[in-house]
Amino acid sequence: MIHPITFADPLAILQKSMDALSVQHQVIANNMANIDTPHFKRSVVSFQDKLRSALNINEPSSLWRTHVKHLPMFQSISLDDFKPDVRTVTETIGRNDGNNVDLEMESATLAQTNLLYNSLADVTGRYMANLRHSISEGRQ
Amino acid sequence: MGALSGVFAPFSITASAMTAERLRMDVISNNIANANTTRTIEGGPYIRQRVVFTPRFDPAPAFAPIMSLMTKEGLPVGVRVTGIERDPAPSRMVYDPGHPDANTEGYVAYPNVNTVNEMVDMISATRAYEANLTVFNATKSMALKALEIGRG
Repeated sequence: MIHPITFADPLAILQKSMDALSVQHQVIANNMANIDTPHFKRSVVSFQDKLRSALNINEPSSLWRTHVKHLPMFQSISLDDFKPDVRTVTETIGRNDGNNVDLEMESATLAQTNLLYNSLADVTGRYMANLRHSISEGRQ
Repeated sequence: MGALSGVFAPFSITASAMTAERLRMDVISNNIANANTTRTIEGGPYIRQRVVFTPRFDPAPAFAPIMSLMTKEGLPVGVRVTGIERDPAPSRMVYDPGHPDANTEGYVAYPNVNTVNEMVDMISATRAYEANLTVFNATKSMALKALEIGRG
């Protein structure tokens, strides 16, 4: 099924978002694991802006594509090629041993990632339930 | 690869950190236990030990398709203890001429273990262990939630 605005399969969007969130979770796990490692630098994951551009969801002021054959204003990546960016933060200094992992920051991002992932899994489950409902012609 | 990538990678990362923190706790316990040991097999007093942590990387990054997302060294997969080193700080000299290990001037060399420092390190190790336990539970909740997709 194709979404009329984003021209993408909702399941593909959910899948890519959950993939990105699990990469983010892995990076947070690694940051937390190295909380006592001298000279370790934390990494961060960013994917929201990239995913938005892959879905052609632009800023409200910019031009919108209302048809899949419209020429894009900017060269945007396709959803299939979407991957989250992992960047090592070297600019900040946390402690005297050169480690810049911030426990509070990581805990907050961990909780956020966890909740987002769980809610996306829930949405995926509901989408599936809707499909099942349609397949059974609304009998259940 | 196997446990070092995919859904189970965070479990492996967190487990490596919990193993490392537990080893650190063991070393701290040993330091406190030997805080007053004046005689060892090598001779002289006990010398304080400390663990050295380094980031662990995937030994076979070429097999990890997700690797291109990560740093050039490969997929970061937790922490490992590269060694247990001896603290080079000098021994604590205490004047006690009656002690069997006293030197000719009557001073006894006690280990360079500061119990207060060890206690602080111990709290730090406990908190780090707990932080990783939180990550472990979060990973588990995510994995279980993903298993629920398409069910019911």
